Amino acid sequence: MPDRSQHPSDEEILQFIDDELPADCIEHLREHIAACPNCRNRQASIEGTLDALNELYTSEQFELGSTTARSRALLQKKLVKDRKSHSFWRDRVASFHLRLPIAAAIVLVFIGFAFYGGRKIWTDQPSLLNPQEEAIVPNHSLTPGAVRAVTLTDICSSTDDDLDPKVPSSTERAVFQEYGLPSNRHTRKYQIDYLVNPQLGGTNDIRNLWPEPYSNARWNAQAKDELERHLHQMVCDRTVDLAVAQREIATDWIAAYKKYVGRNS
Amino acid sequence: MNAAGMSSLSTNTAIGLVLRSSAEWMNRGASLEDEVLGLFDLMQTRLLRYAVSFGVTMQDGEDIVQETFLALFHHLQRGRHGDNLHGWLFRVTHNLALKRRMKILNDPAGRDTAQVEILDPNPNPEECMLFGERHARLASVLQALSIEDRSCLRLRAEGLRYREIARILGISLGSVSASLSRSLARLEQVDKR
Repeated sequence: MPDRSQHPSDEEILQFIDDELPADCIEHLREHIAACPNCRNRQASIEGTLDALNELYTSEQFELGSTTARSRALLQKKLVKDRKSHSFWRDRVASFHLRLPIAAAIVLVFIGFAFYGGRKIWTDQPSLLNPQEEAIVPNHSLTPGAVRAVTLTDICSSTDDDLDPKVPSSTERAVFQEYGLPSNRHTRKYQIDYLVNPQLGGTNDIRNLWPEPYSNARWNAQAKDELERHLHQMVCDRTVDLAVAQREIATDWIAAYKKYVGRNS
Repeated sequence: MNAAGMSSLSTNTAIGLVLRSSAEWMNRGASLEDEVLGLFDLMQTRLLRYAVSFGVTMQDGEDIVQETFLALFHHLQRGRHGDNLHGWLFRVTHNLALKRRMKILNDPAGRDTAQVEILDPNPNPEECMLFGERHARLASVLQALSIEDRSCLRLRAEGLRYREIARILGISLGSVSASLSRSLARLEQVDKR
């Protein structure tokens, strides 16, 4: 619950605008905002940005509108086809009393696939990693790097020093899958690494994530962490421009290591 | 309540009406297709906008929406009407769009067509013409956000409650709120320049 003597945070004001605050906080916040010109200004400013964003989203609709009729007709055809197909098989299955054997056959096929087919797929699927370098560097088609809009002040005043914050397990699985690595086998061998670390403005977008091996003797996850800390320090000391640091670590982190850390190590 | 919330309320009411009236039609022997097509008319554009926000092409976005409504057809055929088809439709679209994006990235021929934007979030001149300078500035910030942050903003604009957004994205309620606040701060910062 917000303290009445303190100004609410922007997050609380947004929750207030969106009617997402817990019921027991709404009245306190409403009273505070009514009595506080600063908070009224904050609310107006946030609402202004939300309105602009809604306008932007709505403007996209004009470009999408032309596809409506064609898509509707296409969906209608698919639904009719699907219903007819569904009815056909339902009638056949019902008339020949084959429900149970078919279900059993489906289960057997599924089990067979799970034991043999699934394993084969994972075994045959070529890894997208460079086999010689065992994912020392990411595949740039899959992981070009992604950054958010940040200022030097944002970056240098942040106290968060977690170089590789945990990503949702669904994203982790998606990264392993993108790289052709079954996640159940490789989660302990690799770290899901941020190509551009959050302290340099990197995001947790899948385009900024890649599986980095722990195993390599030199160019491993620990070495990259060292580079990330070093670059962050240099950016905040203003000896390296933030955009340059982002670009160099995203393009070739080993080259960046040799350039910035290697000469010191 | 904000405009998005109002829009959501009216859409949910409309969905309810479509479902109720469809249920009546079904009692009279009318087809399930009408129910699905009724929802398609209401939701197609919004779901298409959401799908293409993942960086897939318009054609892929249309395919995703078609798949979503076919899945809805099967969902309803099994008698699972559910209370919140609005959230259900966005959830299925979200999952299909993620899958489609991964498929494109895994396909060497398809990578060129994926709208992978990176490290250069500046809008192109055409975008400036279309949306005006302010919109172009906001669009550039949106492009630089993570998929999760962008999805939170878009689903909120579509009128979904934080709880529904959390369920669709598989994150906590607090993460939704923090993501929205963080993204809006960035948008505001650029908007004021």
